[in-house]
Amino acid sequence: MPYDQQSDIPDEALLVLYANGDDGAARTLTLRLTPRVFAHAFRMLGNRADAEDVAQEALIRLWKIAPEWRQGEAKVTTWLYRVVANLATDRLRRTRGVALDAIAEPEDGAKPVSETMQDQARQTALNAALNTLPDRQKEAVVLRHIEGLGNPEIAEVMDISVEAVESLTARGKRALAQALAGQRDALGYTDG
Amino acid sequence: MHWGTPMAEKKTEIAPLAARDDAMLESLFAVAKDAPAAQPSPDFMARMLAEAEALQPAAAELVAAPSPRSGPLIRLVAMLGGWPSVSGLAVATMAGVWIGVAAGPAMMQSDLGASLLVTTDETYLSALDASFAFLGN
Repeated sequence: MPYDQQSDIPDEALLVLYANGDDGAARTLTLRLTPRVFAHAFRMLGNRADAEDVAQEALIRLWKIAPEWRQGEAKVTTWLYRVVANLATDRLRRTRGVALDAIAEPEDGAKPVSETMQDQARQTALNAALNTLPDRQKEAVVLRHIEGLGNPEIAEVMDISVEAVESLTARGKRALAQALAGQRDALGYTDG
Repeated sequence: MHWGTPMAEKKTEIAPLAARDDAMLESLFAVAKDAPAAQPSPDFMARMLAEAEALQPAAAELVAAPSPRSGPLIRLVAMLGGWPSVSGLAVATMAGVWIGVAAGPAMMQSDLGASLLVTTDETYLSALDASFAFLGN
């Protein structure tokens, strides 16, 4: 089945097609899910090499569980976010303190150099500040404010209540603001 | 799927952020969303696709139904309506034989058997339907 014919099919149905050997399902799911899985891993880990390892492991687990996937039980993306978060947390615990704020090299030259440099500085500062948060706060903040998930889905990913998600994100934002307070001017956020 | 043990995060009142802090964080989150570093490389995408295809279960093969055999018996069965019809015929035949062999003498001694053996003018059509009564006159 060509890719464009599968673009409206939900992930869960595509996973069933994948398990049934459908040629196009593997391609559509990979193109759809890999960027999200990698991005979340990168935001949790802060470097591309570790993010690739975690994203790859999460996707392998998805392909292996596909034949037993039960429709209606969970969204594929919710399941993947959870697997990525668990793998990333395990990796962070193993490597805590070793180059946590490493940031990948820039790849996109489309923006003016000054703007790109400022974005890089902001990205680096945010990453460093995120890495000062407890793992659960960091996960909640990333899912809510960078991945753009709603609180109910975050609650499902993290297996906590919606109220607990709200509490984690509020505490996380407050801690981020404190961590970044001294860099406001350097990052181009002037008062006024 | 197993989702693990719920964590015991509790909600407590947290003072809202100052507007300038909130604006700064929103700006930083927007930068993070668009960060090129958060996009997978084409090489990584290609590797993930190859892996997805390598791990994909094979589609179940479609097995053709066995072709019908030909021969005199098969053609006769087909002419009679297939094996279900033939089996029905066989059952009816065996039932007829069984009635003839096992119940024959007893049936002849019964009233029904006697009435079948003795036929008179009165027991003919007129007995079945009054409209045939004129035939007896």
